[in-house]
Amino acid sequence: MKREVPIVLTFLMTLLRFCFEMLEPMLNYQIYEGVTLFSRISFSVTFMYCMGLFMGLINLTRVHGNTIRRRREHWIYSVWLLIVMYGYAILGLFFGGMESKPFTWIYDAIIVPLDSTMFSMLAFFIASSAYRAFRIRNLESIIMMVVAFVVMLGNVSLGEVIWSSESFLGGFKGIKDWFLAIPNAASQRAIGIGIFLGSYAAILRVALGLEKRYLGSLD
Amino acid sequence: MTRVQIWVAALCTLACYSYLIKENPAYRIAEYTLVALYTSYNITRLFHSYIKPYFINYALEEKQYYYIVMGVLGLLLYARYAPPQYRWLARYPIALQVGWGLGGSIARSPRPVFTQVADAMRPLDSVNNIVFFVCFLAVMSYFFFTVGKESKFIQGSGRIGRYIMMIGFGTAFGNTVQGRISLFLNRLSFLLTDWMGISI
Amino acid sequence: MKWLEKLDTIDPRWVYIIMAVSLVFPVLKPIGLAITIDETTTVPVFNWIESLQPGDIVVGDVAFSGGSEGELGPQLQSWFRHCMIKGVKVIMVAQWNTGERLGYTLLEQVANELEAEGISAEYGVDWVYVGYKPGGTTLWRQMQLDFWGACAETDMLGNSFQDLPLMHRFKKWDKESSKGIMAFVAGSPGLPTYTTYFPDYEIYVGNVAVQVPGAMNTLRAGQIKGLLAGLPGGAQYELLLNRPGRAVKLMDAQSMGHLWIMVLVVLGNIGFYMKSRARDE
Repeated sequence: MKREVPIVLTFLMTLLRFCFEMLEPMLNYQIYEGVTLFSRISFSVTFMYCMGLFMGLINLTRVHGNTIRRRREHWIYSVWLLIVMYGYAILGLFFGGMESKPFTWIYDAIIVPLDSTMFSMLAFFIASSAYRAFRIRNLESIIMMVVAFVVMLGNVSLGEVIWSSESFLGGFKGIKDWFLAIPNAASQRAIGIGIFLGSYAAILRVALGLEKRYLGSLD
Repeated sequence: MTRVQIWVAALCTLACYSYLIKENPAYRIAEYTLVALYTSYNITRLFHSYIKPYFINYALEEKQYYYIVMGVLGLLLYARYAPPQYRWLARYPIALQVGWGLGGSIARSPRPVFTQVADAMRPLDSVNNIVFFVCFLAVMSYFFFTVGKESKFIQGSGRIGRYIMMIGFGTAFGNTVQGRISLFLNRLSFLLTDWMGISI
Repeated sequence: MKWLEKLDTIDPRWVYIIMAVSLVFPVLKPIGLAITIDETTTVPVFNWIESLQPGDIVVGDVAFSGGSEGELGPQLQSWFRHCMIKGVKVIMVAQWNTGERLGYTLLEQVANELEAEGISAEYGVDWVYVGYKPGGTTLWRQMQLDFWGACAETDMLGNSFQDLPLMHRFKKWDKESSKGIMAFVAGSPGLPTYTTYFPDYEIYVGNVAVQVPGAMNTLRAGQIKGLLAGLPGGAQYELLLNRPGRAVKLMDAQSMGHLWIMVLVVLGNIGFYMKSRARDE
């Protein structure tokens, strides 16, 4: 019941979905006018896992609740987090929904700017890491640095000024385009195929019940 | 955005950037606020765009009561937080969802990869196609970790494959630099134009 | 030459300050460097919309969040503007729920500007923002068969599809009803959804610069037909459309930022080399 039945369920659902995808008559089978069996199963499975929408809230509450209870370092920020999280969730769920003015006000004024800014700090971190970590010690790093410089100059107008794309070899831009289209694409393709083979094997292992870690250790 | 929103957004932006000088309370508050707001936003989004309309349209109006059954199954996910003797109940909805997703992946995910493999086998009628094919094989041979690894030929082509991957990583680095700088420029243009009113 | 060894140990805060200064000045005082249009990546996207007839429907996908708005925002706005100018109808979906509202705000901005200019960009008639619907790639698969059902017959704003005239022409997402897909992607889920489930469709991508090397692979394989690459892609599209905007204004600063990164790499390596030489001696 606890382990075997879920594994069998996984296999049966995998087989069912696989048959739907591969057998056209099954995919188009209508239970009544305009409604296919595939769509109904699909929607209801999605509806099922959407019921887990509060998992993130509960997890954060447990983690930060623990921090507050034990007065760990920075516990006051955990209080702030819980207040904001519950406040915004209650506002969105019970007071007007996604289109209410306060809800969208907060989204536009706080969420988007904070998200953008957190990512934008990477510009400084990449400058710092380029300075501290990019060390030329062997042939591989020389190749990487030369190609990186060519690509950087090919991406910006400054490269066009130094070596125009109308001149020999297409300038920095032409060489950059060639690097991207030929050796880079070849390497990405080969790496992608390797990743696919590994992940497909993992998928098959899960479907056949050889891999059980996705069920978690709840015993 | 209203003027108040712009000021709030600007202060949030500067609070984040203050981390570059030193870790400080303003940055921490901004960080924790973002985590909290995103979590709540996701909950609200899921509820209003899916759970409510599906429950009303399908379960109640069209009387498709199996949605209620699936909804109850979905609630079993919360058994993870129950006493240990009941936690195994959470495996059932996970098994159904994982199985449904896996079936689609098994059926569909090979297709784009095979398209790429087929494209790699282009006629060798131009320098670019020949170079591409050689690079592709060389990088593939780098990933032979078991079969044929003793062969000097495979080792040599693997080394060439490594150099070609370095070209790939170099292009990745060059594009990453551009991407990161663009992100900062976006925030900069907001601070200068929307907040400080300087036209650029 | 001892000072050369110190090049290895500049305080990171100086690095940040010079980085910020090197980006601020070109934004305030543009140098006016020329921007080259890329024939293999940007032009196919532009030509695709140019080749469509008024009334054709295309589907756009917002698969990014606020973190990538700097690169994909200008692309999205330029592309949408182009569609509205041509009379092409747009249905927007969103694979990322965190960027859904952001995408709508960006498009609403453009729609208001166009309406003020007398170009039709009426919601429900010329464009519809379906937004994010949970379900992942399974749902995208389902949209091909029954778009209305998959979306619970509502758009992001809660409007019923029954009330949106454009949606009456889009009951399922197939090659007859839509003349192509434009996906603005910043990660996962993103492009693989389309290369896996929509392999026979005309797919165009607006990508963040970080993902361009990977996307070039799919471009070469013919899985996508065109690609807008980061902020330069947006700037090039603005120039093709003859409406230079935010992206064009920021390109000079890109050059200075890149220059500073290259200088940093060189300085760091000089310091490293001098230190190792001193150590060997």
